Amino acid sequence: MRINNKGVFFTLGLTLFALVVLSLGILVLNYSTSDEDTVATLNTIDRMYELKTSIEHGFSQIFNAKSGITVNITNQTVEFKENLPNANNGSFNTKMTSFEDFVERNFPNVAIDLLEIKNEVPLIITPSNVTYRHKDFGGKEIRIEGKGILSYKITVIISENITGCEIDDFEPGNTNLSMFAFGTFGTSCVVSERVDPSEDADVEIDGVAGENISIELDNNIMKIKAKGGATIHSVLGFNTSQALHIEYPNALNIDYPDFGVNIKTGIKII
Amino acid sequence: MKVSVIKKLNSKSDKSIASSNKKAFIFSLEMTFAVFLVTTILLVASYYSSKQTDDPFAKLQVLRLGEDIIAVMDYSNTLTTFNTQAIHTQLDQLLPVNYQMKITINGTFSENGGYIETNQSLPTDRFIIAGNRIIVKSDASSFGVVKYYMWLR
Repeated sequence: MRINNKGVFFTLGLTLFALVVLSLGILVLNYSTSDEDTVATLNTIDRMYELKTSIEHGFSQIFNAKSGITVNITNQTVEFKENLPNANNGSFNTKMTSFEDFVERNFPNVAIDLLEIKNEVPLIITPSNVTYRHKDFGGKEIRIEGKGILSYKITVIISENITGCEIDDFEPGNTNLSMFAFGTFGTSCVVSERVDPSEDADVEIDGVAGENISIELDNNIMKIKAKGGATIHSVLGFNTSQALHIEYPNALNIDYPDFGVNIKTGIKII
Repeated sequence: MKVSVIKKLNSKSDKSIASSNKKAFIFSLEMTFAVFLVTTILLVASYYSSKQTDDPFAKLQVLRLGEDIIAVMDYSNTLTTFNTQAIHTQLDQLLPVNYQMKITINGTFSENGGYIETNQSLPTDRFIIAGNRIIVKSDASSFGVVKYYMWLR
């Protein structure tokens, strides 16, 4: 019996075609598996982002309601207003601790470090990287640290008569330093100079009982010290086209080890 | 003589017919085998293709839609009213007509003992996306965890 060559070729040809279709089916399955892995990772990143933004919104609510510090941002200025000493430190820290515990209890993959934030309430102005902080929150000293500040406008309100104010020991420069002081019975004084913030510049505001407020500027760090109680209103000017924001330093850690995704980031509050 | 020639001729044509029949038989056999082989391979190929799931990127978009809806409700302070009626009202405004969503909130608030939920029931016969979010009341007096579930009607 002779084998039919045409039949053999027909069989082989059809088999080849079917094998091609089978290979296509296996390729489709492999790509869909790869797509699922990609989507699982994207899903995790999305959830991480949502968790991060909701935690930030929560901290923002607590800051606005409990810190006793008012912050306003315009295109190129950031304004801080608070009383020294800040009487809200106790309730603010209690609320921050409660929120930290609540988040970490409900989301075990989140870790929050509030030690520095509760001690100093450091507010980082991004993208300029200038920090407005307290030596001890609840104390009588504010520090403004960082380069790139175009102007300082400090307004001080004290509850005694102002007898005088002066600036001394300053190096002339390109940064505007303006200080306005208001006391009781309509007393006030003004100091305004263009200074070099990397060099020493000291401003004193004297009340009836002697020096009441001192503003020390050196090495791009401004220290505002109140001897008695005072309302301090600080407006910082920047030369930037980017939007300004306020955030706490790196305090938020979210980890999904199963997906190899981890972030450690600041907490944007404004 | 004539008879033997005719007999010879007949046996030759008989052989030819027999040979053709065998060829046809072999050919049919090969065809059957080929069809069987190809059908088997195609069935295996379609099995692999059918194991591919639905487009997973479409599900990711549903998740993002759910996240956006819950974020809007958070920033408009509706969720922190801890009032199911207010939540239902805004949810009806934000949710596309072909989707359904269930929301539960538990936390440190006093309303309903610290747990509220909307009244939809979770289906058992379709894909559901789920997510969660932290919320804080604007006066910082209460915290909550929002869990939401979203599916096609």
